[in-house]
Amino acid sequence: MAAAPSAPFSVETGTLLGLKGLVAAMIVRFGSPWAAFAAGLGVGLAEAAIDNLRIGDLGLGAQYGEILPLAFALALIAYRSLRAEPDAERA
Amino acid sequence: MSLVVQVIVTGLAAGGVYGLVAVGHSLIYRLTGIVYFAFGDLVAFAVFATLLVAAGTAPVSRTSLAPGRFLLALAIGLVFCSAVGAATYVLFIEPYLLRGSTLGWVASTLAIAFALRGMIGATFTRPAYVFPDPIPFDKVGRDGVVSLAGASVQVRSFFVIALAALLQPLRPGRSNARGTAAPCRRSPRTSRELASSASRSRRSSPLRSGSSARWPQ
Repeated sequence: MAAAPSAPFSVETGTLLGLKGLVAAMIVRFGSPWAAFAAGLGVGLAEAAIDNLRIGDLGLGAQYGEILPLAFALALIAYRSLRAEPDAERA
Repeated sequence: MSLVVQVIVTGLAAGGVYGLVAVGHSLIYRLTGIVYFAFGDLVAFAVFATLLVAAGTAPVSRTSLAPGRFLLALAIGLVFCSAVGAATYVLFIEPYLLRGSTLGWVASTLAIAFALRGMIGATFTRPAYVFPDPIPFDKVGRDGVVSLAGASVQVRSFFVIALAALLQPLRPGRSNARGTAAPCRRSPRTSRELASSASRSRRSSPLRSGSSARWPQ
């Protein structure tokens, strides 16, 4: 409701919002609401940085702003599951 | 410098919205033990329900709506969204939780997501819709854009950041004195645990026994 007037809104917009919120919640392992909110801010900042920042002629562009935060979350989840596996075996 | 300011302001505005959605996901998980994959579609459902009440399915401009009508539409949209969320949980998710079927509730939440998308797509046939804006941000600055440290920033971005910051402390289950989360209920480790705790809750339900016992916290 807060963001909808800033740009045209479609069904996919809602799905993407849900996905990015889920990524933020997963980063903090569905922890406290404050941590989830901070993670959401981090995802937004990362996305904006990827969209806009250029180093010399090197810039990623807006299309990577959607993909990279999600790819990072996948890598983090994979890393956590790999780290948790030896712990479970030891237990 | 100006680019950094622009990145920070737009990033915080987008991140505030992601943060609120993340808080929703986190609360749902801590309260029910499930990941509600249809949450984003439920958000879209609320937005489109508000739009339907406010202006119907015809295209609208940003400024073509009176604030009073928008507030009424917003309230109806929120009620609709809450009702749909609660109904889908009780009808399509809880039965699988009680049986301890993880595959069942995951499939249910995905099916709910597709159903909501289908409903919205059937009603709103255009690719994208402009949402009416009851607050005239375009009258501030240069058509709603101000210059901050050399960067051009939408005034709406500040509104979104402020709204997200204001809404955040209103959420239930907020931090306790130690700064850590105070969960309403411990998240179940497995579906089997959830099923057994749910059946225990049902057996001792105050609604069922008629007693004045309180729900387990």
